[in-house]
Amino acid sequence: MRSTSLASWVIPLLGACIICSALGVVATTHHVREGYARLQVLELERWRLQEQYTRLLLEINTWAAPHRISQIAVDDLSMQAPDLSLSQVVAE
Amino acid sequence: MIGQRNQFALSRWRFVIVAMALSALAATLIARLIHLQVTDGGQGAVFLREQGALRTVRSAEIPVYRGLITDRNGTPLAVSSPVVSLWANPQQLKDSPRVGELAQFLGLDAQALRDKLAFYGDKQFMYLARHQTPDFAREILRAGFPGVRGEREYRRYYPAGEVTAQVLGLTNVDGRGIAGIELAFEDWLQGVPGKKRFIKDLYGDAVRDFGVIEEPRPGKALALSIDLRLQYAQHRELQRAMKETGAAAGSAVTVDAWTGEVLAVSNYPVFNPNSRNALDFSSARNRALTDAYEPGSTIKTLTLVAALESGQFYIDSLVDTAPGRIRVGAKVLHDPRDYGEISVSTIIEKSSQVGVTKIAQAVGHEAILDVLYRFGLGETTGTGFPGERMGQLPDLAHWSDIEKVTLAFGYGLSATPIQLARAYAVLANGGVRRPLTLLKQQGDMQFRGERVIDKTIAADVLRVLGRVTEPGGTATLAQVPGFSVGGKTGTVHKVGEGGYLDDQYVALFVGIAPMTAPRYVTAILIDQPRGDHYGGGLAAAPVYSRVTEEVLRIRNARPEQTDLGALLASMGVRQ
Repeated sequence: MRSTSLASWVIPLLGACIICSALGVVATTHHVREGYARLQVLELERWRLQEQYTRLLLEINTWAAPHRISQIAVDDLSMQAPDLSLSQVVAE
Repeated sequence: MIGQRNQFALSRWRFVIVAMALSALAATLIARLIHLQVTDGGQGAVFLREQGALRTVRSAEIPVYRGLITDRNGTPLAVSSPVVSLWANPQQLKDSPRVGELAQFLGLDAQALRDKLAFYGDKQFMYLARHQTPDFAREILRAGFPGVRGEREYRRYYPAGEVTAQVLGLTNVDGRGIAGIELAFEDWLQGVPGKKRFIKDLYGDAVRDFGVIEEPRPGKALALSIDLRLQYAQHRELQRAMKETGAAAGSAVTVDAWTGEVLAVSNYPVFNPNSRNALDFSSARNRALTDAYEPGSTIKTLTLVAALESGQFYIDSLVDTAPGRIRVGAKVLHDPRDYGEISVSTIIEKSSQVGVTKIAQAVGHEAILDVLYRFGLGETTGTGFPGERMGQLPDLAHWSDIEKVTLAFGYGLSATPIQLARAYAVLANGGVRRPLTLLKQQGDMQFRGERVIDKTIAADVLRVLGRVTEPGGTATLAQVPGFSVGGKTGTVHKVGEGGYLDDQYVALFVGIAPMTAPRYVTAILIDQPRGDHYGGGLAAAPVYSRVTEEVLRIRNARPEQTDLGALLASMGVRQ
């Protein structure tokens, strides 16, 4: 008598647990996939940003190259280093 | 009816037997199959899983960028930029009607591409074009040619181009350092690529990632001691000197004696590190470190150190150089004219052969050799630069009279320009020798120096070097407006087949500035200057002057104001 009453609620309980666990597995797998998809999107983004960053880095250094600056200063803007007789040291 | 019924009963019994036997056979087969393929006992499951994985699961490298190299102010000198290498699966591409279109896209000859595809026809991988810009690669990949894919890689760019080419060195197409700093600090700069696993489909495209097995670790950044502005100025002046003198090669190196940092180092000929096509290895050498020359008269400074250390000479001791020539063994050494009785200081100022010969004979070659060793000749400077030469000091069992003397004016030994700069840096440091470095030094990480000569001797020698650039010295062209500088010229006959060549020279100048607080040492070497201006004083000293002017300006050295009162008065300021 006792054993039948035990079976009558233990088995459905275990069944419910199994179903819950199965759904949990499904949900977690889904999360992992979502997370991984996001990771890949972000990695792509990182790659793009790095692409842009190095391009800008190279660009800024091309524009700011010393020879370009000195060329513009001397040729376009007619600048020159001040003669020493025109400069004065201000003692600190 | 009864017979029929019996018959049916009998057949039913037989049917059961046959059915059971057949089921048993089927069950045995299924059990055997399960045993072979599902349970691990039969090895079949493992085998099949492995075989399945072999056909679908791939692991791929996650590329990492190489560390950034910057100058001392953080300006990038070597940058790894993402690029895409296009590759194709020839088996899928070779029969496509779009090969011609693809060739046009890539700027290749269509027939050549077809031939190449046919050649690799049984392979699954073939590079189409390496290191393409990401935008261009995207365009091609978007066009969807069969079997054409892109692989991410990094490529090294050198924003300063030829200005820093020789010191930075090069990487190969796979991003490994093969020369210069890139090679010397390979382990530091090179990252560790990561690893990921994915499943590919029939066409080789990734359909599902398993995830990252190993995280990629990018290379670390490296700050050099080089100052790009200074490097550029030095490079420009050296190129200009090469053009003016028509020389075959040249080197310049500037060192901060206080810290041992190399601030700039340039050479001629140069190469463009961003284009691999026209790479000539003779122009890729960082000659200031890798090429040893006879240093000539620049060594007389160290002879002076030996003379002062011996106690037999002071800088104003008088030496009789009349009649302007002296016989040593079978050879006669000449001065340009008879200087008569002159001081030790004047001997160095005028670079008198006779005077130095007399000093060398009095001091002895062992003492001079000892000073050369102590000043770091014959050993590396400590930069760790690949291919750096140590130069050579004579190691003779028997010294002839002439060899004992020529050592004193820099023949019979060899040194690199950077070794000369380091030797003079000892003087600028008041007699303390430091190893040189190409890396930026933090305040507390400075190398500890080693005292190699007495402070007062270093001060005396500096005073003499200062006079060399003053009127009457051999290097008046080395003067820098607003500053007092000191140094020593050298003019060396080049060695050819059968001895020294009469018409080919190496012009040298090694100088220290500013003399009020000696700190910056610059060595200039010009190999084979043509025309009349071949000497150290005419070919190399002006380069030193122009470079040092930039050094002092960029490093914010304070000019020596001669007469502040007069200047203020002229500006209408009352004191």
